[in-house]
Amino acid sequence: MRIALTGLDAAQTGLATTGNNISNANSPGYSRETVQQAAQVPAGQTGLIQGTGVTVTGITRSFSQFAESRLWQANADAGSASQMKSSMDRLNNLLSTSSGSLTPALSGFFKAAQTLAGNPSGAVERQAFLGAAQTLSDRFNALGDNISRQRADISSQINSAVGQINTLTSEIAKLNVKIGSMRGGSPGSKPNGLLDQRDHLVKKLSHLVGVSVTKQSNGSLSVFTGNGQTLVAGAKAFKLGTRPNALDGTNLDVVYEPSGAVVSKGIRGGTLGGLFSARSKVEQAGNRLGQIAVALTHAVNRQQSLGLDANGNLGGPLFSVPAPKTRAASTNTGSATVTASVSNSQAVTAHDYQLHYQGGAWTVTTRQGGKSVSFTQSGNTLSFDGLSVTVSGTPANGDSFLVQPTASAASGVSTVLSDPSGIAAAAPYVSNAGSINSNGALVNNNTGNVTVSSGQTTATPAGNAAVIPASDFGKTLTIKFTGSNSYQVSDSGGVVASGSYSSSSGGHVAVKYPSPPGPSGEYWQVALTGTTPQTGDSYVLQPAGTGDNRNATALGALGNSSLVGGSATFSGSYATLTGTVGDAGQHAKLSDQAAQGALAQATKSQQSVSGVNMNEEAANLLKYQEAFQASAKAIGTADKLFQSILGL
Amino acid sequence: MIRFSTSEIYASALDGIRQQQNRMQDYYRQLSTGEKITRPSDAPVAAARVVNVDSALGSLKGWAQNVKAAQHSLGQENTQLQSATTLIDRVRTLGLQMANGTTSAQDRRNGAATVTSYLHEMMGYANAQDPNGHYLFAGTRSATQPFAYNSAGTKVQYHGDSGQRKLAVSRSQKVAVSDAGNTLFMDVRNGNGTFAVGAASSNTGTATAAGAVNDASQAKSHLQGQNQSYRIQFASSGSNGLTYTIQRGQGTVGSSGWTSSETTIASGSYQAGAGLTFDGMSLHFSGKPAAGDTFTVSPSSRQSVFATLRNLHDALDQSGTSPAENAQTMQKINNVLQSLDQAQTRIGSAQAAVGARIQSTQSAGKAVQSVQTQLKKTRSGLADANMPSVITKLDQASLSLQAASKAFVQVQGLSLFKFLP
Repeated sequence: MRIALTGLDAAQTGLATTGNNISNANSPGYSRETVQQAAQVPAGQTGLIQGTGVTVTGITRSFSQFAESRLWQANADAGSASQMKSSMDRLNNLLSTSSGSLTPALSGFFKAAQTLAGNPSGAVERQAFLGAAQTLSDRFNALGDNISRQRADISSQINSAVGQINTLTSEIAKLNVKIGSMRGGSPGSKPNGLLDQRDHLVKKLSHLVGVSVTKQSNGSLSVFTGNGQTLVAGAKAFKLGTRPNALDGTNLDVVYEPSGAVVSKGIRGGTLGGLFSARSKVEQAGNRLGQIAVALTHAVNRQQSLGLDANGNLGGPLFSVPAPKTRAASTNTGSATVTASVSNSQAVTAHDYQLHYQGGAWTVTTRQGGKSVSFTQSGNTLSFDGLSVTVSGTPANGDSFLVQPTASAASGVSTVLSDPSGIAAAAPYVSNAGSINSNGALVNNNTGNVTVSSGQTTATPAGNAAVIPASDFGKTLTIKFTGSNSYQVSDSGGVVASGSYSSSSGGHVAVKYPSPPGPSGEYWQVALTGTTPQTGDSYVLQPAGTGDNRNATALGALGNSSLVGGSATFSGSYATLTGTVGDAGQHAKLSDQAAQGALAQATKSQQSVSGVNMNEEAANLLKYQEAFQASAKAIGTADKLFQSILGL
Repeated sequence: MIRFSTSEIYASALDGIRQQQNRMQDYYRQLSTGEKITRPSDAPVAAARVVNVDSALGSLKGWAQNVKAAQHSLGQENTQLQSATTLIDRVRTLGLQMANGTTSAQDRRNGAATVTSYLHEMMGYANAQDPNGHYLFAGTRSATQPFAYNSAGTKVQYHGDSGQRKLAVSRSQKVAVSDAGNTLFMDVRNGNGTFAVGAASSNTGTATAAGAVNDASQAKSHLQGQNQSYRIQFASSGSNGLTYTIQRGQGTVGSSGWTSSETTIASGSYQAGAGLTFDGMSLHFSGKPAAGDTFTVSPSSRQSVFATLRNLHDALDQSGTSPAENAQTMQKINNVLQSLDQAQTRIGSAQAAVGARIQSTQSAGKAVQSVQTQLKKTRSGLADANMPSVITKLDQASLSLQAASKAFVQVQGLSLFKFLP
């Protein structure tokens, strides 16, 4: 009867374990448990050795450390890939080909310039051009703001991921303690539930950040980050924290709190790793967009300043764009500050730059990629890639500065011209043969065959040019031949310059633009050509009337000029950006698919060891039920035998 | 044998269903938007090309619009120039009629009134405005009336400038859509375009002179190159005959510069009907010159079409009855007719240029259109959903989804617990 009782006990344990398996079939992290039973060692009797029943030696969980580790690794990859995918999806949605694109706004702007060229004095056309400019700057703002928002969101996601990591590591440390304290008991009685819980926490942790895990001899788990910082050692959890980047305060770094060291670079895998990769892509996209904004606004403003508005003044800026952002590293010890400005918008790149002062000399490197950039230095001004950076104060050895020419350009663009008459549709001068008489009428009594060109802008006047000072810009200028090889240029007050003429190289008159409002170092130049100038022949440069469309045409032609980085049009550069972002998006999608597949595979193999199969449990249920019934029957039979003995 | 956990079976079955649903979602999107790509990541290379194509289409739209505007402007200009040439023809007809020897002085004075009205009409064409009120022939000063009388009311002056408006009709081609009024109406050479003949008002003979150019380069080198003028004087040779003297000098005949530089280049006895030839030009006289009569030959100068009309008016208005006066008038009318030819040539060639520009604009417009069509096709190939193929794929996906759902139900039904009592 005692033997049957052990069988009954064993069957009950089996039923309970099976029941536990069934009820936990869907509990995450649960490992299937099985009852380990063995025949009881017979009592030391002589003669016939009889079995003494069954004993339950333990309840073990079905667990494979290898499968579990693989799952953790796959989970880290999947966490990173899915974060990257969702970030890239968001970026791609932003640059969607139909509604969100910059292209319609760009095309609309340059088409409005063409329309204006068709009727340069039309109030409607002028208003429409301003409207198109507003639409364009709004579009830049929307795209730029979205990218900034995404960067800010990434920062807060990094914060929350670090918070979750800290919670998980402290939980794991606590479980290490609990598990350690329960190991004292019999070798068969492992705290299966706690072990499952701890493994599940490690799995959750690996989704957030790639970790490596080692099991200590005392049964506790030690958890390390990718580059070896200890997160959990026995009962102790070590925290991660976040801190603004020393150079770029808008970006968060992950620091290892016990040492205060920045560990961002060592973070691999997991949501956190994905966030860091995504952040650099988002930054690059923002800079590319900013590069277009910088190139466009500078080119348009320059063209504006070359022409006359409806009131006959040189055009003021149409757009404003923030100057390059500069920032001193928080670790700097010197008193130096830097300011940067764009000197040549066509040469501006999409890079951020790091200026480093070491041993009395500056070095300039790109922040992403760390490539060395060549620069020229004159006094306290460094010039490189279309920028000029001025250092004031005294830098200390090891000081660093960040220069971001394009990062905030797209969000900062605004249309600053509000008066439609301020649009410079006209070129500064119209060239006429003849002179202006006292009635203000144009009279041509020239007898020679010299003609005057309509003129163009140049930075280098011809060698034989009569150069007119900027103070005379905008005045009516009369060119009069004083001989067959000389001419004088005069304004209403008298002669201001004279030039020489030859039939081979002709003559030139260059009027310097006043700066500001005009560009510096630029001239409006006309050419005189012909073989037989006659003394007294006159030509007159008159400020252009409101019917002139040359500058509007030039504004419209900017859209087809290679002005971004000196090699791409605005829309061409945007197409490259679209392609790059699309590539990143597609790559992220494919990596995510692969990582999810690997995770599914790892889950499958882990589940094939640890998962609960209902059919199996049903069979076990039947098995133990039968064993229980049989043992009960054995007791019943023994009882019956006993009764019959009693009844004798 | 691989074990499958029950939760894994559910999860993977659900995963399959979800994947099919995602696919169907994508096909639905393509069907509803008609676009294959909505995000660059759908097809990065195609998306970048779509941006380029869209921007090229944007430029083409601008050029197409300029083509329209150019045709409109050129059409307006053409209309005005056509009216002006027709008017010049009418003036010419009137001039020829007035130059007829049988026309009386009174008729000529009446004709003067007609010329005045023609002059007004010409002013109207030259000051034509577009529907926006901008003057067509004012250069860039389109807000200012370009042609106006001076304060004395004797001369028409030009208040515009030489600006010419151009519009871009392709990346490299710009078409001029206007012409400045000074080149059309003001700076027209008078006489035969090389020189003009004048008869002194003191002439008493009945001769009128008409010039011709025999050697253009020789004539021009004297007239335009060195700014020389000539004086032809007739004198009595005593025996009822005439002699002529041709003098050449620098500048306007009679001016101090001319007087100080004049030299006699030819002289001789005058044979009626035989022309005088000198320095690559020749003069023919009809009627009889009298001793003491003077004619001048000077380089053609710029004379506005308005001044030409006014000269005609004055010639007709002041025409007298004596033979000498008649000859004076005839000389003036002849000069006007020559100058009218110059104006006609100038405006006519401008009109021809406008016609050529209209044509080149049209062909630019056609080129724009064909590139537009081409690019739209390219864009459609890159970005538009292929409807039949999408519909087929959607059908396939929905079939797969049904199969996956059915399989899920089947797997779910296969539980041992179902068979337990």
